[in-house]
Amino acid sequence: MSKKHLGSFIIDKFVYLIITLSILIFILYPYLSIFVQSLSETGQKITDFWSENFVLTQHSVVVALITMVLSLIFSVAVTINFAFLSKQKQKILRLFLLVTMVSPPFVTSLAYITLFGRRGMITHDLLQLTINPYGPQGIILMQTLSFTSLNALVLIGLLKKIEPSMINSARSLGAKTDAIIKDVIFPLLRPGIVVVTLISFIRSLADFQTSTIIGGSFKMLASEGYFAVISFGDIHRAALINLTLAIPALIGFFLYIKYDRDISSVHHGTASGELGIPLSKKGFIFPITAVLSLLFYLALLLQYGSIIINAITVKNMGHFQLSWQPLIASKIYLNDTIFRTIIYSIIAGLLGSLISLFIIYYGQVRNSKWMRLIEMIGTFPYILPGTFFGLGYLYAFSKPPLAITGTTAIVVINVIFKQVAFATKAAKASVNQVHPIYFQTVHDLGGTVLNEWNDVFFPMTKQGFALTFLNGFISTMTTIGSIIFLVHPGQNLMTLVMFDVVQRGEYQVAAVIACMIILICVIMAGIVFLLIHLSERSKKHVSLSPRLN
Amino acid sequence: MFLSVHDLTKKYQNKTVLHSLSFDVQKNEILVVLGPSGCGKSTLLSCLNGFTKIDQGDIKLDNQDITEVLPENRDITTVFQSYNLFPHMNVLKNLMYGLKFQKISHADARKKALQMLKLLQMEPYADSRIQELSGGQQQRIALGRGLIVEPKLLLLDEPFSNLDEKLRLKMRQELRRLQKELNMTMIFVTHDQQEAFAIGDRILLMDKGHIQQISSGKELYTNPKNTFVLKFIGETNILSDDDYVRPENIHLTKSNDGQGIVEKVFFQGSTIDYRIKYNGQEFQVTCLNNGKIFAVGQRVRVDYKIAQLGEPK
Ligand SMILES: Nc1ncnc2c1ncn2[C@@H]1O[C@H](COP(=O)(O)OP(=O)(O)OP(=O)(O)O)[C@@H](O)[C@H]1O
Ligand SMILES: [Mg+2]
Repeated sequence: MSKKHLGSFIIDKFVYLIITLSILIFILYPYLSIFVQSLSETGQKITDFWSENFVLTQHSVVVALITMVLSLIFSVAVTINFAFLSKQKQKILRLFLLVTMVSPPFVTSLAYITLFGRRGMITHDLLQLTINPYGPQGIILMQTLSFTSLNALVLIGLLKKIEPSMINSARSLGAKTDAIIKDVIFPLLRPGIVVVTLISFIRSLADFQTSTIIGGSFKMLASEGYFAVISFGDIHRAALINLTLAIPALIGFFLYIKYDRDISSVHHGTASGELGIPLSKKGFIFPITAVLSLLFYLALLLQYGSIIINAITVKNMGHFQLSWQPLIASKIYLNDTIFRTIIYSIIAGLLGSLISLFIIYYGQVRNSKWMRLIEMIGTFPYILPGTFFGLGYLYAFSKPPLAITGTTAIVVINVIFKQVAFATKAAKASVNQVHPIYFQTVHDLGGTVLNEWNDVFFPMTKQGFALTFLNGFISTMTTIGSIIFLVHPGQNLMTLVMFDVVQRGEYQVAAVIACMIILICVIMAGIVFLLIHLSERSKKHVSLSPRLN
Repeated sequence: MFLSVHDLTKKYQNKTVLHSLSFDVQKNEILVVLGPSGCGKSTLLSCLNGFTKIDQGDIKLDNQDITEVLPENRDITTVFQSYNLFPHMNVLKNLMYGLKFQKISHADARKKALQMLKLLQMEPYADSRIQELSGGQQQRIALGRGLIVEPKLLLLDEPFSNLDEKLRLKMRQELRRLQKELNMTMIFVTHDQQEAFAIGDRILLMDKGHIQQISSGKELYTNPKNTFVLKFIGETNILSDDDYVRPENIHLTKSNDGQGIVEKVFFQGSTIDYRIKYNGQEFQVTCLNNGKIFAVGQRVRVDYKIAQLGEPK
């Protein structure tokens, strides 16, 4: 072996080892720790916990079920409604839905309080009512609102993948609007519908923020788990709660893996670039979807409207006046938090994407079975509750050999590895677009593995990398569950500060922070898309078509 | 006329893709639309089946103006290039799909679908999933799904382009057979001239959104109306603006004082192609392989009769 090849060989093995170890240590080990330790340490037994706190589980499950059904109905209605709209309207509405992606998850609850709370803009100012908005109805409504956007985005993505000529075929055979929806669109969306339903249920169970903020005296598993740590420092109890929450999530996870595969195979044949013309607005289904969608968009509008108003106005004798006051008031809460949050998010985005790309490289390009197992382990944080991951870190890293709780490192590591789950999915899509021949060519010409990375892999997945980075950045900017137990005072991140001020009743400050988070994400998205656009213009990709298989 | 298209014009933004096309199709006829890639064939079909709005002109089917009728209400069915069988239904359900919208009982629909399956020679596959079929089988089912509703007009957009050579030949015959059995009227789009000759009663040759010629395949070959048709269909030696001679119409005789010189020989099996230098021009010549092959450098006598564009021979 030549020197050049030896060097490359060593680096290759080294990277492989690092990737493997890091996933095992920072994803698998925390999960194992919480499982093993919480079940074996002294304290309440999990079965006792269940029998004593049955009501909590009952509340959580009922709320999750109702939320699941409601958000399913609304997201399907919104998605089907898209099929009736022109491209332009679709684009605008989709951007609107995307705002949800770049918002902190509990922004809905914040809006709810400012609109319907004791001094809410609607209940108090407009209708002069003093009602108690806290309780399960609020939780269900707010979760429905935020899950609907996320579900709809997934389903709309699938809708776009349905070939227009598939729908045109049905039309040309005589199918009218309702028949097309029933016979073609709905069945093709079905695997996606199963997945989003599942995810809504799991998300609702795990969501501690909404119930903490607007649950009032209504007690649920997730919020109890949060209070157990924050108010009582009872990590054991929190672990039992999170274990309980993890059971449906794990069941869901396996269903998810099964159906997710179906999603990716919905798309058949060659894509025809034709524009599918919108369905004609006839039949029974259209008006139903239109009404439901309208309701939903109005609620969304109300939500963001109230956040913006709260962030930039003060109330003066019953009138809203533009003011810097809320922004100034938020200063003492933020300090260097903004800068720290952005830096963490950038690091998480970059390293998370890099690790994911390598996992997919070894799994797909080099066809390593072991690495595909690693990839699967990497997807755990996607489906298991965020707080479960955070607690796992507390269990795993609070004592030697790796005692790093309380450091900055543990937070950064946590957000990096939380990205891997989603990033590997994105990375896979982008790696699959690079034809294997390219890799073989490098070796054929005498190149090493390093050349393969340098000359083929990274250059050709650049765009995928950028998008994965953006996703990691945004999700770190808006994450809260997995880090809430890890962050030390004085090292706060924006979402945590926001969560904190909401609970103190500083709604205007919270609104300012929410707007800042959204703005930062939008700006970063703008930068990334600009870079992609520039690099695309400078060098048109030579495509190898048709794909050899 | 069964289908009559008059002055059909389609523009995308400022670009005119179809220029005032007028043509007719008779009942039980297969009209092939032939032309190079991007000339507007698919757009034409899309205007006929109603998925594309036209800018000008009118379309009559069976004495009824259908220009403004929605696609699902036109008695026209399209078989798209990408099959587009419904992946969540089995073969039989796919075949029966269009019958759902006709006044016909489920039992009758099933019977019809089974008959169609027989016609397509795919009986064993009634309950198969679409994913289990080969490309050619899917193609046949897609064809059957269109045929079974017995539309007044069936449109086919390069339906065989994804098939291998052998299957393509077989499907051409099958399509002709089905068309005869069911008495269908069809418009068939292709960019392959062999396919056009094999299938079409008449061929509409198009270029850049203009009709260049509509006639039988034989007419198209032996009597091209203009240079585009001449060059697009088959091989040719152009002598001057209007004069040409097809390679097979040149006769070579071995002769040491002949004016032609053999420059290249291309052995094709049953025929042999030569490149001949004659009168300061290069000629492409096709001869039957009757055992005598001229060698490179051989002098030959060259005889041919000049043909002229637009003039019957
Ligand atoms: N939606 C559209 N917007 C703008 N231009 C279009 C659109 N659809 C087609 N065209 C243009 O119209 C012309 C004709 O396209 P069409 O698809 O009908 O060609 P075709 O003859 O079917 O080609 P092929 O043999 O490659 O399928 C092309 O120049 C194409 O670029
Ligand atoms: Mg075409």
